Amino acid sequence: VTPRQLHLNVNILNAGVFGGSWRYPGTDPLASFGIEHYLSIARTAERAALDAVFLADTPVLDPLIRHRPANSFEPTVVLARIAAVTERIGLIATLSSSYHDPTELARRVGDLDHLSRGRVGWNVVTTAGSAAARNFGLAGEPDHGRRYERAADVTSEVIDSWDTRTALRSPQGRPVLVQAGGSSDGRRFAARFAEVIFSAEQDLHRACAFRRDVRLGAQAFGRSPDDVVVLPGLSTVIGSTEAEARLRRATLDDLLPDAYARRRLAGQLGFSIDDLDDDAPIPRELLVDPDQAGGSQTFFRIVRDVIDRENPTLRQLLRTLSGGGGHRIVVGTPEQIADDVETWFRAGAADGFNVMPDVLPSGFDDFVEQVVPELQRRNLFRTEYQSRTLRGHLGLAVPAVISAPSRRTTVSAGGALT
Amino acid sequence: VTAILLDLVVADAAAPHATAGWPQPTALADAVRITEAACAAGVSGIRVLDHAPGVTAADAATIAAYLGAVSGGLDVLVDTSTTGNAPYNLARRVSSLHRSIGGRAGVVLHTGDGDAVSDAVAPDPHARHRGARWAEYALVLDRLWAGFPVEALVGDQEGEVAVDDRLIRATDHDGTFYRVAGPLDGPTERPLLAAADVDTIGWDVAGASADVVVLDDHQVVGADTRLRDALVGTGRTREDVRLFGRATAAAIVRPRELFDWAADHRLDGVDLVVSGGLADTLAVLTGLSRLDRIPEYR
Repeated sequence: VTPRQLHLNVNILNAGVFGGSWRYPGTDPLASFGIEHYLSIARTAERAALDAVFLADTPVLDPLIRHRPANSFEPTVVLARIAAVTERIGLIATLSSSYHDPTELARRVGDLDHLSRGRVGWNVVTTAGSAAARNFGLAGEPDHGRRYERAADVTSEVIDSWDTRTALRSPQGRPVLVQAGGSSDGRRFAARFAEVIFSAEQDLHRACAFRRDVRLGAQAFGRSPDDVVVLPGLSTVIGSTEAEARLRRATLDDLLPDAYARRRLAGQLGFSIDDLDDDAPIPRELLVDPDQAGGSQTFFRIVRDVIDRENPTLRQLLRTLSGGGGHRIVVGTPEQIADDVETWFRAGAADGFNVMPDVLPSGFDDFVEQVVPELQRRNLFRTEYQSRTLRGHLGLAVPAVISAPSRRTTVSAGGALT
Repeated sequence: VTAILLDLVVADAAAPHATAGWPQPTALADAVRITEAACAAGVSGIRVLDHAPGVTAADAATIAAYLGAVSGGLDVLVDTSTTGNAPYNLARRVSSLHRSIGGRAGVVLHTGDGDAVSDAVAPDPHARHRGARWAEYALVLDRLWAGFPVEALVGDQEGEVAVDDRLIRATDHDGTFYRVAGPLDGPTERPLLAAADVDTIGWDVAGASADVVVLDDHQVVGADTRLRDALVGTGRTREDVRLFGRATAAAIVRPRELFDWAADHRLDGVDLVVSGGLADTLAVLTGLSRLDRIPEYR
């Protein structure tokens, strides 16, 4: 019996997760505006037998693009191109449920799954922010709860469309459903639909509780807990010695454009920080309950947790976040990072990780060359692919299609479609 | 002097069958072979159709992006319609494709209806005219594609300026069918915009908006005159708009006849449909490859 092993995705977040990544020595600052950046990282990920590449997306120009490259490609275009030059690596695209026509989305993502021979996942996001809303004729961001109601409707419709396909079908049945929101609404959605959850947990015990909760939540919807793969985001800063890793982190902090860091934090908090004292903590009265926050409740919650835990000054908070989304950052040698990964995995806090390298491609090259072999030595990660589809990599069953799409059951992985 | 676009459509390997006037649907692997052969033959580009009679065709933009791995210097035109596509989404998809294949993409935009997202907030929920929708859609694409010029990419690591956002312009479109704030999220040069369904759109609109007009058989006769008439007073010249006539060829194509036909009707290019399968298409491309280099039409 093969022991339970980790699942690893790489999140190709343009130049890297840190706000100063594009300024890191030896980095091409504009590489992420070209397709070769994504193809090259995907090939590296496939050589390391990772589960998937993951592309985040928001259909709007990043208002902070002056100080940092942002995602600039539509994900299905990039993944279709990656599909043409790879054989096994999974391909996860973020697409907004709020701003796509469900019929069109179902067709395009389903066809991508077909042409990649069953390697696609759809990361369902509701898309925060009024700027994105205005690209689609709305005056402002729809209410958080309403966005998730629509997400459930759209997702149901898309799944039904995939399940009733008679042409261009996929060897994995249908694309894997991925979800990435940590709000209360997001968790309910995840319990019902998500097969992979890209979470943003900082603390081991809370991560264990989160994973336990979503597994129980899935059961409440008549699903098996093992049908849900929980992959927290993990930002990595790797050095061959601990000192080297700390120096790399310090360099990235120094390279963080200050204007970027401040405007991004203000965006995450939902209020201006211009008049706040850099050397004092953020006044508690400004922080609302996360469920009441507009925009992305996930990232508001993360920042609020850091404030609750560490009570940093504004200056310290900016440095702690370092322009990243707020995902957990581990800094250390390959062995130390493998230790951290193993601890979380064995504690039941994670089924694997959505790896967000500090700088792309160099931080990912280091991860693949140094951390992955260490995880393989510990028998925590595969040395080669055992399957051809994303579902296969993730250990998820092929959904069997029965006459009524709402009554879905599953057959064993790799089983034939009816 | 005639440019050639080769039509293809991808469907299930088991499904393909031919319909007169349409390319025989091919499996993906055959589409790759055809694209490679088209490159070798030196044709101007491929046009990926979004539907064909009697089969479920694969999404053209997705196929085009996949074929980008082998399309080399070919232009890659993607057929789609307004139906189901909010303009912001389609503009992004085409500009992403454009950037991913070295600035050689375009869209053949058909008339159609709206999409679930835009329809829910349409400025005039009663507006229905497909030609008017197409005209507004083309305008929005044009503005979105013009808003984020590639010159804005600076990459000044020392000066902490990745992108010169002062060069980026919002779209601020407020029309009958759509409201789109813009700008687009990524830099782009302008992809080609090709008009199909000129009977519905009207020559005035096609002449004012499109870089290419793709003509069905019945539209070829007199198209040049209609286009010239439509361009009067628009500030655009006949050279700004290219006319492509759709021609169906069998395995043995006589290039001279094809080019004479195009010249007789003052067409700039031929939108070539090979009615046979893979073997016929490869044979046609082999025939064309014996010609001198086929000119570009940009």
